[in-house]
Amino acid sequence: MGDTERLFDALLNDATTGKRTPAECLALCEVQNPELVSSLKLALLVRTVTLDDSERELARANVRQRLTAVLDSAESTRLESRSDVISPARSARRRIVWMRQLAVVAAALAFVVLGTWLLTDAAANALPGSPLYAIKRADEAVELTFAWSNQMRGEVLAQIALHRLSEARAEAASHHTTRAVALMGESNAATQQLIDLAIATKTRTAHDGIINDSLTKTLQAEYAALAQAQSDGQTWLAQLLLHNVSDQQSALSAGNISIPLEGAPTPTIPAAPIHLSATPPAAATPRPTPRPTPPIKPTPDSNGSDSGDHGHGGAGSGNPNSGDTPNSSDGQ
Amino acid sequence: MNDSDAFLVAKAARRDRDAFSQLYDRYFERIYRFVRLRVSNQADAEDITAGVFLNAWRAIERFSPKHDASFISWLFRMAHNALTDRYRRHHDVVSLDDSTLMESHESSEQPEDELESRLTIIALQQALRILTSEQRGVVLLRFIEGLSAREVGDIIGKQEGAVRGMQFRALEAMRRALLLSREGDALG
Repeated sequence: MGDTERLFDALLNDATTGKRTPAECLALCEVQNPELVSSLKLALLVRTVTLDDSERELARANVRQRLTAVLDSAESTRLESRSDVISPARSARRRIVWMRQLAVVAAALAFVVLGTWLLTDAAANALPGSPLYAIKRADEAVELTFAWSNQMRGEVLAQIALHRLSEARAEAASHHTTRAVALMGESNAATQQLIDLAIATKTRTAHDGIINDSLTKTLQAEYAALAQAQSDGQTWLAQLLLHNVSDQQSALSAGNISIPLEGAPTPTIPAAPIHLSATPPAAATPRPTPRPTPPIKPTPDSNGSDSGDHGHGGAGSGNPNSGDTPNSSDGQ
Repeated sequence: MNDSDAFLVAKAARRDRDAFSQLYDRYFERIYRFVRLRVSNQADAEDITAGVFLNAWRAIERFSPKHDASFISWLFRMAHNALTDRYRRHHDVVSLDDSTLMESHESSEQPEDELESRLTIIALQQALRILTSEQRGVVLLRFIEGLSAREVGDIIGKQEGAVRGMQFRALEAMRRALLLSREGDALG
């Protein structure tokens, strides 16, 4: 640093610190280095420059306000980001949000369950050709799939058999012969499965009341349908039912199963063979099975087989295969 | 209120907002003035000043009395960097506008009154306006803020000698501008 610069700094510092007045500094500079006076004068003049007080104070307040806002915001963000510091209000808000979500899910679930129940209920009486019939069949399939016990499976099979029988009678009444025949076949198939289940259950364990009750209900419905068909003059339907009953009785006999059928109406079996072509009203009358009408087998009781259910005594009164054989009871 | 800078800085580094508020009150005027005299309007000056103090709050843990000359020098360095960045980004002519409010705070008994009688405040504004941004920074830090050439060098990233050279060139340029202004006034 040269002498000029050193002198300049010293005088400027003296003026700044108040060691000398600006006039004294300038006078001393005039003596020691006249060429430096103009620069020192200017520097001292610049030193006096300041801002307007009102502007400065306004700016101070504005900047403070902005800083406070930013720091408050940053502070709240930092606190909220800490998982271990959750204010009660925030916790309550979270709980309310969670409960709202739960309520929405519960409402949606209730809506689905109620809708499904209403739809299934409406489809219970649907007939083939109805838009709801597929739902009815799907519901049956689901129930059968999720029937995880023999008893439940028996009940579902009985329900299916009854549904098909009811549908077959309705279709027959509407002269939809082809549909009725098909549905009768499905009803018989379900009943046969129910009989197989009853035989299997009896073989493995013991007499199962629930399965037998289901079977009884199914057979009684068939007999009732048979009687109704006979009284209505639906001989072709009666003969189909008769064939089914005959098959089922054979299966029951083979499995040594005795089903009490108390209170079942005694059907009047038309004289065999019945020629379906004589009675079906529709053109699409199904051709009967060429096999001869099987004779109605007597109940295991009358057959002499030991079912262990002799005491029930229902077969003799309500069973079409009882002593009132179709042939002998031809009232037509 | 008489706490030292080091004490307040240490407290502020522990996120003590009251301590930082005291530092703000202590140094706002100098920082704002330094910024205000290098930008063209009050709003920009407030933006930059707020940014300086915000950055100071965020980075106050990094302030080291051993490496930094003083807290005010640290703040001035951040202000200088902010102004430099602004100039580079916007290619803004960082200058004083005519509405910049400047006045002398010296009493009428001071000898500067004699100078002031010849050099008006407006002429001084015009003289400062002709300086480069860096020259103006040096002039403001050296003569208004009263920092040493070494401190100014630390702030603007120059050697002490370079700062001295810049200050004399700036003063010479201002002197010529003022002479021209006076000659113009005399002719007018």
